[in-house]
Amino acid sequence: MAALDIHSVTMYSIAMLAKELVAASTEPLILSLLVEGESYGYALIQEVKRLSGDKIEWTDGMLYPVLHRMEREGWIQSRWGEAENGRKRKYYSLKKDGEKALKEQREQWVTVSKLFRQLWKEEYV
Amino acid sequence: MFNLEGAIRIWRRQMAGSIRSSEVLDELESHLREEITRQIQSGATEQQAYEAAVARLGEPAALRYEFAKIGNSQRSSRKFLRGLYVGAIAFVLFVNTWNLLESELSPLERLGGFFALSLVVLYLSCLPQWLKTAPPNRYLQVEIAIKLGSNFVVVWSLWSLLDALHLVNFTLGFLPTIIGWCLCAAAGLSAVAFALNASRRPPGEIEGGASLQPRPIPPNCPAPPEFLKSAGLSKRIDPSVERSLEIAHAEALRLGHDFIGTEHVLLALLKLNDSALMCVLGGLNLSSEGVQAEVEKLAVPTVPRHAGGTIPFTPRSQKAMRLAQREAKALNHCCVSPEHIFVGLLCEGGGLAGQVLRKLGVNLDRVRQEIARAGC
Repeated sequence: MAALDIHSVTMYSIAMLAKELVAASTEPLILSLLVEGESYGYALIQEVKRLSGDKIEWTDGMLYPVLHRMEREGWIQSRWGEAENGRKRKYYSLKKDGEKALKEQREQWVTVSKLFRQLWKEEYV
Repeated sequence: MFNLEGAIRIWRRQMAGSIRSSEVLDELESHLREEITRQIQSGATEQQAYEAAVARLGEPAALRYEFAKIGNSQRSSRKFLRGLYVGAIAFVLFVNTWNLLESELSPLERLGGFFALSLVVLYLSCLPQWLKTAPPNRYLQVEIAIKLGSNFVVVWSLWSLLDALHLVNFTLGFLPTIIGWCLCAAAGLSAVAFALNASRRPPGEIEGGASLQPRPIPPNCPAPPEFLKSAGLSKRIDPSVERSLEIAHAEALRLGHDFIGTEHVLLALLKLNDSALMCVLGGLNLSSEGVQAEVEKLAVPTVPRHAGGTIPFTPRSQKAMRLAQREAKALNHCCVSPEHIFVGLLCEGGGLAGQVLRKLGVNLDRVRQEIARAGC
């Protein structure tokens, strides 16, 4: 996947997951979160941490180059808005190409997941 | 009294040295403030919250590299450059072959011409692959050679123009002129090959193809102030320096020592894998593993005698820290960074770290030049 080629060492998780796995899952995770609605960088990091039970913690600053790259690819778009405290905040939302990219990446992950399920015979894989 | 807004302004100025875009800086600052707020809500003081948030965001050099990759990752421009490179080699080969066949040359001259042309084409064909696999210390030397060589393009073109306008009265023969143009093409295309390859290589790449190590997420609370004070540090320090002192403490424990000497501090700097310091080492033709091996020859492990608690810094390592602070001040840097600690160890000289660095031929002036080159 392109994520591995570009930033395999930048998105890092504490101990639990191999860095290559974290890197490969970054883009589909961002796309999947943005499908739920507009969000911003800090919230994306906190949401991933929460949903993974603290197993995945992205290196904070390194999320932003990924977001910018995805924006250049035409998958997401951004706008400056206002946070609750009145400070400006950059929000990201999914574009049509992003939905297409998410669909493609989801198919790839499902393929891998099905294979593991067959090999490991575990329902929750 | 810690001034949070002032600290954020200083942080932003520091980041601006690496990241030019004000929009990116605004976004990173927004993130920093969110994390500071969260830390304060968790019970940290403003200073602790600020330091933890800055550490979580990461090193400016690493962020600069990642943002720079976005600019260079436009596939269409890379494809165009690659196509131009291959097309130019084919053009050089075709035109010069035609010239050598059509011109009135002796068989020996023609053979010499084809030999020179073959060498140039072979060099240009192998260059991209070699650049991909070159070790970082060689890569920097090649970078300098290619930059110097590209001056030949300017000189040759200028000379040819003056010759065409009859402003110079020194004419080379036909064959030397062809060879000159081949070399000119080789110099110019070398720069293209280098530019194509440069965007693939991380600034802190070390031997074996290992890339920037991901920075571990630090604990929410930074090292207690007394630990830093016991190292002889009283000025503002980069969070990576705090981390390196913690690693130095761990190194001392690993070796069974009941003191933190200059050798532990040097080992810690190497294991920290700070991108700026790795650039400096690369410029000095040193590898992290090589320096580490030399330190470990002298830093002999012993049976642990330390009962527990914090291990003290030796007077030599404290002196190295003070020298590091002086170096940061002399360079007008707002924080003490790992490369200043490296200079401090070298200047201290009498400890094991200084002995190792002297043995490896590390020269203070060269180190300062490399620090300036690395943009620190």
